[in-house]
Amino acid sequence: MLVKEAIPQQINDKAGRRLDGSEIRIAASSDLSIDGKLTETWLLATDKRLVVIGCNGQGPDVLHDYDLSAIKQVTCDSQIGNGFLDAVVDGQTVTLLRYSSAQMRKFGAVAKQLDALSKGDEPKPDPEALPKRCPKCNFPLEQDSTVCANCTRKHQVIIRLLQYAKPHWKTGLFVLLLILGDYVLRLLPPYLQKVLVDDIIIPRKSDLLLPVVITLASAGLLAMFSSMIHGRLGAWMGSRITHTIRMALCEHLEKLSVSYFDKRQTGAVMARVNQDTAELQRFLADDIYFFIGNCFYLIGILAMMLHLNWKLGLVALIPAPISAFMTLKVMRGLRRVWRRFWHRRSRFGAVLNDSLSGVRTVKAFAQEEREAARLTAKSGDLMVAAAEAEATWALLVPSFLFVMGSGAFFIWYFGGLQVIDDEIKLGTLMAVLMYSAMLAQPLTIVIRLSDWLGRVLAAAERVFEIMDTPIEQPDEKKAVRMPDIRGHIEFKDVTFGYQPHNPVLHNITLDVQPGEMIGLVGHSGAGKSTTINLICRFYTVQEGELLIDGVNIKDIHIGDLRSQIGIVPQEPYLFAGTIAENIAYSKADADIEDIIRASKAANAHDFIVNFPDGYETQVGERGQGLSGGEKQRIAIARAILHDPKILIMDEATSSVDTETEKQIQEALSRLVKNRTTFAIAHRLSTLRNADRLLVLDHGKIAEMGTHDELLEKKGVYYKLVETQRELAQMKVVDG
Amino acid sequence: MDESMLSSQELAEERRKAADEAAHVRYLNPGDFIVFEQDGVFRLTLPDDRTYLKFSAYRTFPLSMPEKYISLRSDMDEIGMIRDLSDFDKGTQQIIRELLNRRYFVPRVLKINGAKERYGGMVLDVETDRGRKLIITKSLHESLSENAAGRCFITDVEGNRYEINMDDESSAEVVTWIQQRI
Ligand SMILES: Nc1ncnc2c1ncn2[C@@H]1O[C@H](COP(=O)(O)OP(=O)(O)O)[C@@H](O)[C@H]1O
Repeated sequence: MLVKEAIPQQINDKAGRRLDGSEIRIAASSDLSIDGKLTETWLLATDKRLVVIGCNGQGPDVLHDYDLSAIKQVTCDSQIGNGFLDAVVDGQTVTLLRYSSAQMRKFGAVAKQLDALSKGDEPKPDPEALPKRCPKCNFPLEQDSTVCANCTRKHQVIIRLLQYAKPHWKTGLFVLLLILGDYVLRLLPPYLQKVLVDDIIIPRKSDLLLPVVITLASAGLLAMFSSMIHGRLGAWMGSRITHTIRMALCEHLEKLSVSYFDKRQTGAVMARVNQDTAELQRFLADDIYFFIGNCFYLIGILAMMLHLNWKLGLVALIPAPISAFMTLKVMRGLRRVWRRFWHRRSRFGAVLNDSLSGVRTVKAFAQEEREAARLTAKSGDLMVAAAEAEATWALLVPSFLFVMGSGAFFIWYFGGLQVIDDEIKLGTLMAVLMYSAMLAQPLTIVIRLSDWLGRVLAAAERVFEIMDTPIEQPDEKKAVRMPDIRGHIEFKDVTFGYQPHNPVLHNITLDVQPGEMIGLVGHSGAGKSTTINLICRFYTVQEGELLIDGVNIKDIHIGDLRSQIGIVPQEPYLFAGTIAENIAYSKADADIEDIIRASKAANAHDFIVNFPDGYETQVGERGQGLSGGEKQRIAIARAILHDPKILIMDEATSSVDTETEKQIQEALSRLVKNRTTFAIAHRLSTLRNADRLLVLDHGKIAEMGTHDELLEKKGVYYKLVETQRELAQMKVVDG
Repeated sequence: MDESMLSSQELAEERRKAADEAAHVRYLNPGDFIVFEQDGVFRLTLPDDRTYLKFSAYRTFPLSMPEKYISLRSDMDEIGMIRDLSDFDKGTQQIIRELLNRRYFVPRVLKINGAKERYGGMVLDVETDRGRKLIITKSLHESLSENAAGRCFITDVEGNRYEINMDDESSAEVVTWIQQRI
């Protein structure tokens, strides 16, 4: 399908005459006018004509009207936040329309299709061109997402949460019963005290005293045990449920594509996993029982008061509306100041982290004082926020408590009158007083329910949002299994951009035979790493095809593919653990001799055994620091052990001493044998060894051939080598 | 003392010169070039008669100095930098402003008419300097960004970016409200 959106009647009417009724092939709306106002502009094209219609205030207005044959070359001019669709009409560049970033993808496709139409070719359809919207509510969907944030409604989140709780329903029910018992028992004391006062102490019936006191004590004891048990069980159950959710989340995170992490800061993703699951944990393991219990409690207290004396019961409720109102207001106010405090605290933390992590740079530039000043400033902000929070707290809480407790005054007065008039007994008055004092806690908690639930649901929603993000290969079962890849790699007219509207590789065509070694050469930013990213299928080819042994890489089982690709990155990442574990990272079942053999082949064995802890030396985050050359050789050993069919190598640019260099080269030459190898090459020795060099320039293939052929050609490669040679000579002179 | 020895100030001067030479920043002053429109595109001609058929203007400090230190470019190459647009004649100013306007599209939210939280994100009904717009954001914490200078931006679900006018009280309030929820 070509880009064709539903055309409003008005626009259709306006265009109708100009297009004399032929079939409209392309219809695309932009959200901007040429001068950057947020109004619609429409582009309509038939096989013959093109019109652009703007909607400026007084209805539609034809801005451009051309015969397609007059148009040569339609292009997109991407700028910051917006772009322009330009065309060359009768030798002049004309800007057809302007659009915001949201529509870059769409007009990228429109440009191509218009270009084809104007040449009289059949344009290629692009199903991804139109921004996707939720079929139900028309809410725009994210690029590669199929779930609509708008449509996953709150109750669905609750249902999903409950589903995680389902396996524990028996425990849950038990906990619920215990809570019920706990709070019913807590209702007992005031009532028993009334009995004590009215029926035992005042009438002086000593024989009943002990049994009632024992009942009172056992009620307290029972409540205590029940509270302990449901607390324990609840915490266990909540933690289990959270664990299940966290496991599912982590598992999903690992399966997400590299591009997911490109768009987001790792820190933000980590915060989600940590904080949001902690929020769920707190809720499921603790808050929810507290809340349910307090609901029972509230109902029970009200029932008891009304039962004892309905008049007094109602009197006790006089301040309730005020305290409910205050709870809402006070809590909101308090939350605001505390939020500000937390926000500043995390900012202070960020600055502290930044400044301590960069301690070498700080010291090297003698900026300790400035860093200290920066921290002092943030700490000052924090102090202000903390003081404010505490001050608000100090102000609000006592007044709040006063209002909450003011029910007692009314009870004393009206109840007192009733006692004096002999309408009720003293014990009843005291019991009602005690119940009214107990009212404050459940009342505040029930009132804050909606806030509370909102926070938990938001956390749950964020967690589910990650879980709903499509993974790299959702249809693993349909994928082509390729347990034994030969290593024949073919690029067929591949065009790729990290943002689809902004290609960084253009029309790459390349055929690499199994076992061949290709050196990738080019300026920084030329697209070398991007080429490699495509072979590893970190990103998906958008146009053209990338075939491995004749199978489109999109269809190959990702596990099969990756297990046969080995990577020696420019800056190898070592995980926390021993050297041996790091070498065996891709092959956890490797035996010791395999590891040693691989290290030997990587020329790493000798320096490893020189460490006091040998292969058991701790590396990674808290471990021993390794030099660049050492890390590289460990990465090579890792790759040798992995024994990949396809080898990807990103040569380090940093220079190492000649001896290390020689060792690395030797190791590499052992590694590349009989494997299809792509190497981003900087070193002359690697360049010479490559069967073919692929010279990239601005995402296009500039030259291809062997080192000698390309030198002879005196093209881009020749210049690159010359520059490098000059640089090398400079070093010699400097050195 | 050796005659050829330079004082530390002179040395500093020498070092600066060497750095300038290496950096090759070419500042263009009024009279150093002319700009004009021809066949629907803007062109720029230098005194040595070199004409750039299609040139563009980039801001180097788009946030804090929108009309200063502007880089005039032809494709990937810098033709030169101008220090302050207001030093130039009206015609030049107009053309360069037009180019800058084309390049940068960040509508400024003047006023927030209404805001509500919806399913983890926000729906904001706003008045921008480019017209009215309903901004829909996905999640709160991924849509709001603040820079060190206190400028505040909001990114909507489709990837468009808007700057929020923090001088407007109601807008600032909404931002604070969002921040408190992050
Ligand atoms: N993750 C990414 N997201 C967006 N753009 C990227 C990303 N990685 C690289 N680029 C861009 O793609 C282009 C090619 O980069 P790259 O392939 O890394 O070049 P090289 O490896 O030759 O130095 C550059 O313009 C770079 O800015």
